[in-house]
Amino acid sequence: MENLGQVTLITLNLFGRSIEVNPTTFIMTWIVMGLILGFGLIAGRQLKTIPGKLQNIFELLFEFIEDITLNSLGHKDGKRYVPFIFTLFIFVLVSNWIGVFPNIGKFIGSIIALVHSLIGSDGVEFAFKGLTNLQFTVDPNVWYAFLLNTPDLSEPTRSVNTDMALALMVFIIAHLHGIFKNGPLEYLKGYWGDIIPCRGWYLLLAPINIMLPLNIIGEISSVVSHSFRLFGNIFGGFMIITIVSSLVKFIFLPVGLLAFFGLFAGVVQAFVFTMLAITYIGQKN
Amino acid sequence: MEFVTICAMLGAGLAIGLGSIGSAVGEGYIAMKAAESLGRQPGASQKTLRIMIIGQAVTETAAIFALVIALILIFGAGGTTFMKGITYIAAGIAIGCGTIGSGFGAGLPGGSCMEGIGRNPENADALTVQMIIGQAVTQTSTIFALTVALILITLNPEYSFIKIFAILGGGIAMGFGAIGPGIGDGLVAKNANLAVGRDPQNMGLLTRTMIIGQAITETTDIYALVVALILIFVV
Amino acid sequence: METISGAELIKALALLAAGIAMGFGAIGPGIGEGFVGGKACEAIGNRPDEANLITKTMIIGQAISETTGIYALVVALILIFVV
Repeated sequence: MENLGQVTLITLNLFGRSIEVNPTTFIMTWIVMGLILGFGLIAGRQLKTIPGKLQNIFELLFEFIEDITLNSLGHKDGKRYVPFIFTLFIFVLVSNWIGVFPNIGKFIGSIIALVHSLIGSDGVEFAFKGLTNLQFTVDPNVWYAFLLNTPDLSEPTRSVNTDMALALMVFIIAHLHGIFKNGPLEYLKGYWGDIIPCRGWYLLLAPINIMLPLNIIGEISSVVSHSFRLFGNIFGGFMIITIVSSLVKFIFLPVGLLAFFGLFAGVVQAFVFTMLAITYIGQKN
Repeated sequence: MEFVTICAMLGAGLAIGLGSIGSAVGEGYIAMKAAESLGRQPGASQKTLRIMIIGQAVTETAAIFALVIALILIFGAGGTTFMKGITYIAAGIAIGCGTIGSGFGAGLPGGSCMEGIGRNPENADALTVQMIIGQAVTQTSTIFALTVALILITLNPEYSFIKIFAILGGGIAMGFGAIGPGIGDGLVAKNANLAVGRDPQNMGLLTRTMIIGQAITETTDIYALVVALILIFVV
Repeated sequence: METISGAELIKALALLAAGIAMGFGAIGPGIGEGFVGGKACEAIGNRPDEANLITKTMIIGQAISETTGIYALVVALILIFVV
């Protein structure tokens, strides 16, 4: 349990700067992208008027997201943003769901270790410590030791870097939308406030310009809350599932926890992330 | 007894003692509303009882999370350093206070679900689904508190005078920060459930609005999480 | 135990204060935003046709209720990084 939060980092040298990256997140992101592309290609290859199963699922999801986007952003703007919003939704959804697959290798390895210890061999020691803490130590030379070291399928969204990148993308698109839609002057007035001449006096109207720094902090904190909402939920679920599994050394699979945190929280958080993206873009109208 | 063991026991006491307040009140609220609705619709007693128990079981989640941390602290607490003891106390505060809000909050939609069944027992299925979604999203603040508590338990920091207060501050920030958003989430889900009870046809729209409303309500909870993580890791 | 300098004491208590500021500062906005969201759901239940307008109003109302939470965050970050 001591090395729970640790990740493997590799250091890259780019233009004289050293950058630390987490290779697991990279690989998993590419796997997720490959999955989406693959399913998308299969579903889109033979489009029919009466849709098959896969096409039906995609159409259902797409119409759901399209409906919400058009309602919130208006028909003209909405049409422009539907592809982006749908891509965001499906990427976050598949990313959240990929962690549901339990670590089969560790599970099978633990069962073998349990049986191995029960028939009384010296490669493994097995004991209960306390109420919940199951302990076994395995000789690294036994043939199933590689199974116990199988890497997990980790969600890319569990890394805060992915979430921050997605949230920044939405932030930049929302602000560009605001600038192009209303012009730079109107956009700045939202932060700085209007100055209106009235009988020789210049009136400052809300948001008053002393609020400028707080308005900017408010905008930046929206990126923080947007990204950490996804990160906190997915990371929290991972933490709970891993601790519960590691207390019993992966002999039992916490199916209920996987269903709740993986499937349910995954789809709710993907929906919330997309909805907030639509909201942030819509606020700049 | 060693200092670390004393701290772990104190942390376990804080975790389960404070952590059971919210869920107990929430479950009592559901039972109260169930009794009220039985007074109106005695014929639907089977249905009411079944859904009441489902609602109370989900409300219980927060207290179960606190129990898990308390058990880990009692049976699984290791380490010998002074700082390890401080992390156990902070973990107890984080999960203990952090479950008050969503325990109570999860009771509110349960209560309004009972009210809806008392008005019209035919809507029971739609109400149950809506109630469970609302309660599950309400647990978010508890999940954040649990994450911070688990991080604190597995942490093994170096001794420094400043770090003691940073870790305690992180526990307090997450623990108390989760109270308000938990209750707020419950309020959103409560009114959404009442509206579904009046007219189940709007359920899709209401579920959507409820989830957005709850997500925004949790924003301050996320700020608390960020501050707690900064206090634990960066300082 | 070694002696503790005044500067260290100030830094340590500032960190504790940051935790208290954010923790207690998050209670009010959380409940307040809950009221806004709850009433918005009630209104949509009564007038489903006006859902877009109500949702927009809800989001703006919650954003403004959250202001004190952002103040708490700012104060906490100042206490951590500036003091």
